[in-house]
Amino acid sequence: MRMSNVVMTTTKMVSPFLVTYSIYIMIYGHISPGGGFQAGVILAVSVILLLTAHGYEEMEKKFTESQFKIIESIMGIAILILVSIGILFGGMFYNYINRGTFGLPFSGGIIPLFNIFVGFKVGAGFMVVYYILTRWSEGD
Amino acid sequence: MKRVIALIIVLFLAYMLLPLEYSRSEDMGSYEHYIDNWEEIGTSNLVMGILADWRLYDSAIEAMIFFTGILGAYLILEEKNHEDE
Repeated sequence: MRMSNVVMTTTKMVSPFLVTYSIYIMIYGHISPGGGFQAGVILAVSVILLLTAHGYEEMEKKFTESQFKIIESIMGIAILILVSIGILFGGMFYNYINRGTFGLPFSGGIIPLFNIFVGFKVGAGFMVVYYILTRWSEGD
Repeated sequence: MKRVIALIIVLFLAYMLLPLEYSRSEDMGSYEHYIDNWEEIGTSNLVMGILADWRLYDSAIEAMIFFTGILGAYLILEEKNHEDE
């Protein structure tokens, strides 16, 4: 099911900005308000906008469900590995990367990496849930 | 019998949990600890510092809980999708 021409053009214009904003929140999550989870939700919304406007059947070919599943699984494993490497440096969940200058993007040790991984994982996870629910409600 | 056991559990939990004090304490509270050791974390966003450094075990396992939730939704709803066919 497709929406009208106006909605399709508007979502095409808006969603790149949403992706940029989401990446900004991911990278600057430890300096300004924000974080991984919120960035992931915005990332998922940018794709859901396109999906609802252009119709499920057409967009399913461009954003396949399996690629979201692969991203989510890889990011889940990456979070576990990132967190477990701390065992070598003193303990599980230990922040082992050198903390840089206060207030710069490269500061806080593993916090920015953790934010980025959680952002992609949550975004892909919401997309998988959206696909499942869409298929369930449309019944195909 | 079940009701008596439930009543005993509720009274025990009330006895344990009601005296807990959540006000900001002067010397030993976690609030003071977070504010005093802010420089130790090195991020200007203190909420992210608490969530992703002091409480990293909570946040990391929370991501795994989200994964488990998606797995549950997939198992239940995909089963229904296949039943329709």
